[in-house]
Amino acid sequence: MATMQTFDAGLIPRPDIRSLSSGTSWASSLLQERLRTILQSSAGNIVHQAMTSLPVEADKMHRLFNASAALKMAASEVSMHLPELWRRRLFENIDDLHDPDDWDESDQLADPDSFKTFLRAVLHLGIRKNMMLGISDDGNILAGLRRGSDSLAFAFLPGDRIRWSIVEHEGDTTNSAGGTTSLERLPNTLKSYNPEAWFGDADREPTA
Amino acid sequence: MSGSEFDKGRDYARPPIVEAVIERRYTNPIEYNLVNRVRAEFEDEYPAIAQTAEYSFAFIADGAPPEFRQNPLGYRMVSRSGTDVVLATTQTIAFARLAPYPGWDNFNEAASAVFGRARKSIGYKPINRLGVRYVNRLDLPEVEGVPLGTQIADYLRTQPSFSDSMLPFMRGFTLQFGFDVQIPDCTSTMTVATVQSPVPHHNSVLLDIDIGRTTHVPQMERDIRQLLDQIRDEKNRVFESSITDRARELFK
Repeated sequence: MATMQTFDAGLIPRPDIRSLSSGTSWASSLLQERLRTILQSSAGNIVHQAMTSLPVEADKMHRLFNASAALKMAASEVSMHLPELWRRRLFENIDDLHDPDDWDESDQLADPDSFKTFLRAVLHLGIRKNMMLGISDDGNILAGLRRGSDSLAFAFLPGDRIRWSIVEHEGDTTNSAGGTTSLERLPNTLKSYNPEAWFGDADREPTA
Repeated sequence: MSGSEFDKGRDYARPPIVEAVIERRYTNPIEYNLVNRVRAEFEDEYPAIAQTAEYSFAFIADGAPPEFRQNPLGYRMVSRSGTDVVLATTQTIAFARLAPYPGWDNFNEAASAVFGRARKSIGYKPINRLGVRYVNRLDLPEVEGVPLGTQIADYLRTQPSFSDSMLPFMRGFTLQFGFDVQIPDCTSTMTVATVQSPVPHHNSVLLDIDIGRTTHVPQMERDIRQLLDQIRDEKNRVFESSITDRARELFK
């Protein structure tokens, strides 16, 4: 079996995997891991190496900076598909969610998998309206949209699952509905609630 | 497209760049206390700090428990904006800009400022590699019934080729190759790889272009800037040579 030692001794040629400039994004880390895996599978199961970055969590403020940065870095991966003003507002919302003055030690940080579902939903549904964001007790991203006195709310769960609820007023009558569905089925589910009006055009300017 | 257009690159409204990096790799390891000094220099503006370390699990001898080794290398520091990153390790200082890409002038200027401050913290250290890396991700709208390999070929001119019998069954690939570029002493490594798309109903492909120099590496800031400008033009040429007009449509 080939080992790193036999490569180093020049006994067999080392696979020609090139050393790249550093990277910090999800994409560059993924490539680095794939290339490392190719090298290691050629070497047999003798040495497994991995490069990781673990947050330095010295205090509450740094923990919140790290949590906020992780969400922004995830959003930046798809920022080319988001209107710039909307992205900036999202980043402001992320900062607000991690404001140290409003943060209690018992508060839950956002689950990155929930945030991933949120981003995918934004892209899939074409949500361009201003949203209120929150984090549930179990770390799921919450989003609320308002239209007059009507409201539409989502909880984004890991794995492209979404909990939704809607409240609409028609004269003196209040209609409400809700459920849990997949991202794939959500547009169909919301079809009878005039989704274009809820998600619609991009807001022109960020709110003050 | 003419050669001069290649060299200039294009100003795309929605460039597919997910990360741009300028890296200086040093001949001798930087002492960890100096890496800590770099961290202190930047931590106010780059407050999201993660420690980077290399971990290895080594199976040294039959029957013996595996040996776990941890080697701290330095720090990854992310700015408040969430898009600028300074990487300071015992081997390298790098500046990365995540999407949205602000254009070369802005990016290069920000990197220059970071390297200037880092140099004040660590003093002069001989550089043995200067590298510029652009990781692009092309999000290709899914077309039902068309094999992935065929879809990708509509957008990328640099990609693996598959036999007709294999093409319909291809589910993904990682391709890396090196080549000489039109700058003396510089080489490029391109990595093309399919990845799970973050965008629903799309297939995504990474096009990672890394150009670096390891011999006759400039040490003076003026010479470094000159080389970086050349590398940037060459990167544009390589990128534009690797994509089709259909891909360009995606970035408008």
